[in-house]
Amino acid sequence: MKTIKTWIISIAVILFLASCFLSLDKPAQKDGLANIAITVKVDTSDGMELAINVPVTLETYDYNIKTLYDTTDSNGRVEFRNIPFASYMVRSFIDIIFEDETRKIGGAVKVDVFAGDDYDSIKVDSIQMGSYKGLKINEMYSAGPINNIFYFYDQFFELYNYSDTTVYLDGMVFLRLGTSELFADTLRVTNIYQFPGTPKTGREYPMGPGEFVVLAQKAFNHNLIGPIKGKTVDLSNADWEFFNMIEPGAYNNPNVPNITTNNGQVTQKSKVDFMVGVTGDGIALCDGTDYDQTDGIDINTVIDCIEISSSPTHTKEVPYSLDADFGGIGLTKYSGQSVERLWPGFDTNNSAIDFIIREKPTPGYQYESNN
Amino acid sequence: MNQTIKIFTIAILIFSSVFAFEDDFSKQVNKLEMLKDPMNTYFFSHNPANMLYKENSEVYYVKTVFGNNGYHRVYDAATFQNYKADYSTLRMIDESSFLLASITYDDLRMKDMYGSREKDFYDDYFSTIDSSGGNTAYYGPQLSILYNVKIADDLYFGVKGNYGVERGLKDTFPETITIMRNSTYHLGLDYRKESFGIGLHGRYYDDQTYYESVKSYSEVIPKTYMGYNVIYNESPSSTSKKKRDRNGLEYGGHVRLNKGESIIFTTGITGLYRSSSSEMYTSYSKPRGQWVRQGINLCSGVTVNPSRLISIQIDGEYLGYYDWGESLVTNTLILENWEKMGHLGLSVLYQPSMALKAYLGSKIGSVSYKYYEYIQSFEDIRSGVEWNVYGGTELYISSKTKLNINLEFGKEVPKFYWDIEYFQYTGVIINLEQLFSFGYIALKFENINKKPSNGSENISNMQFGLSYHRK
Repeated sequence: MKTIKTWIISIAVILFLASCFLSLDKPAQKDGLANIAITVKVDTSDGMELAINVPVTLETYDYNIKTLYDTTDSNGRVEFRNIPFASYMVRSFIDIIFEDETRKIGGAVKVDVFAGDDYDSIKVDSIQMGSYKGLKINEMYSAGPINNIFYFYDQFFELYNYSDTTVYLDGMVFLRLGTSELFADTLRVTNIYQFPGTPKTGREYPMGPGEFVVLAQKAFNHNLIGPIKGKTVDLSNADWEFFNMIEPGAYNNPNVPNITTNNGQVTQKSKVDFMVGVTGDGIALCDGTDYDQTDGIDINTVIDCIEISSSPTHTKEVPYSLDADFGGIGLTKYSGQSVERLWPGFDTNNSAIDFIIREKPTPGYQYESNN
Repeated sequence: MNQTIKIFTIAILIFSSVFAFEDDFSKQVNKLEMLKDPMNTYFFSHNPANMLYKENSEVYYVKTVFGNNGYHRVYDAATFQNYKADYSTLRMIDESSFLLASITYDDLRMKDMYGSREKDFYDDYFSTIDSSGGNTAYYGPQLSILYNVKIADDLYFGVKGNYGVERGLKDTFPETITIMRNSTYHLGLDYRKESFGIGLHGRYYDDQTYYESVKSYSEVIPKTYMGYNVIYNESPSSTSKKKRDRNGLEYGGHVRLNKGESIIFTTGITGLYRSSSSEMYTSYSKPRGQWVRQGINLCSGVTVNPSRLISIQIDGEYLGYYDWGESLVTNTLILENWEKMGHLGLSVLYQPSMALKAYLGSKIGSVSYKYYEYIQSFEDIRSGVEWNVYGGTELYISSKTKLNINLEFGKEVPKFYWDIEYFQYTGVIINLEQLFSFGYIALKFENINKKPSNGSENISNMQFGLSYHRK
């Protein structure tokens, strides 16, 4: 009888202990109950005004759910109710007529809605619409073509003059950025290259309004390389080529002018060519008045700055004052994809809004469907 | 077969569906085999204390299954082939205990698995896909050991352990490697008297699956399903890893009351609690989701033997599941699923002579499914009537040759098929067994054909088996 009791008690104890280990608590809050309210304002000559009856889009990269559309009411407000808890990008774009010119302006805000205890809460935020004219980094092609030989030497960067006047590239510096403090007033630099000429005052390298300029890592026809033949770009006619003057045996297309480093004025330790991360990086174009990167580059000299990253969990590297958020989420390396501004020169100082992934690079021109 | 064994054989038959808890509603059960062979009924009951010893035996078995999912869901394989080899042996250790051991090797090839990294995509609420198409081969052994001992008068204790390792490899980039390891530990007690019996058992279940995809010159683009409609976008990376852990506990008991062999009443209850959690990870863990299944299964039956020629069995069954799933990204409830099934069955066994047995049966019942997703509101609510009719015979063609035939026809309401209301299915099992001086050799053929209600192509599953049962 003692044996029987021992067996039964042992089994009961084992089952009870196993039950305890397995027990999980069911969450009290259901998903799909988040609410967002956005107020949209337009920056006008009379100050900020409520944007009435303007379209607003809400999209998330977290899920495959469709973009939601709505229009602001008479208070410039729009509400999205019963949506999943996620990170959203809320965008608004409109065409305005400014000094007899139709201009596209836009604004966006990133809204993270987390599940909390207050079921009926509504996340409130606002968008201030605007856009900035000037010389812009319009496209960054870094991912490399579809290949299995780790080829990414066809990288290029495209500038666009989104202004009414001619700008001069003389003495400007082009930077690959390191990680800066997000509220810093200087930029940490990984690589620095410089256009020839005198900063600010030089007039040798003009760029007219509406003109594109291509800066090639290596200015040759990359389609001549067997494994990537027909899959990439011909950069033999690029406008500029990066050239590291201390790189042994560096390729140099004699027909394309150089943007140089270790040229006696700007210096860097790296002996290789200008190249950025295949899935994104921070880059900046500066006027060249500060070219000593050892103590950082003054952000007041920045003409344009962008940050691209394929990963939504990427840790931001560029100060908010230059770029509010990074773009390019979902960019895939060795895919032939490129990131380009939505419209030529369109800039809200937020790469998450301004840039879109293109399936193919477009050196020297804007992607056709947006022309 | 003495009287006790007969009673318990029938009792286990009635309980069989109680313990087939993890399975979907079973079809194609060869009733005659279950009546005849305690081994087979044991594989339904799972309670190791219920296992009955008949004689020492050794069975070698090879099987090939060809499946053609003419109609299939997005992430189901279009076709599959399974090659299986099995060896099992039953040995008496002493007068009060015996041991059963088996080893099985499976080689499963699943073809055209569009994007799925999972062996069974629809078996989990947090399944993963990537950019690959292609075929996957799964292969690996399973070991099983059962020990049954009489620990006191009429009281039996059984313990069973299962251990399986399986490896999968997809043949297109990013060539997902899957390593699965599962083990179960099953304990049971069974108290058997002439006129009644009572038993209880518990089973602990542990399953770990590890996935790794590498696309070194490019990036894997994995996506995690949260339910069956919403996809959570994972970050592309050159190496994508996932881990899935499942644990479960099943516990139950049964009671049998009988008056000789003429009337046997049995009833049983089984409870289930199972949890599953999934996480993606790189250098750190990124939990994605966990879900829990709770279930209960009630089963009762009455078997009446009005004469030596006829046995009549009436049985009823209720099965209820409740699942909930939590996103570990947002810590919210993202899905709930209720399933209920109630069946009533009647079967008649007619045995006019030792050379002929025939049976006929039918089962009818209702099922209902309520599936809700909350990330983006979705619901699938369906209910319907399921039924089947089956019949078969065991016939001795000669003194050494035996033929079994089983036919089945029925209708079932499928779950997680969004665009069809029901399947109609037909099944045929033919088993030919020949006695030789060295043992039995049996050939088995089985074919199941399912026709979806939307008129799409049929699903067919054909099996060929060869076994050698050493005397």
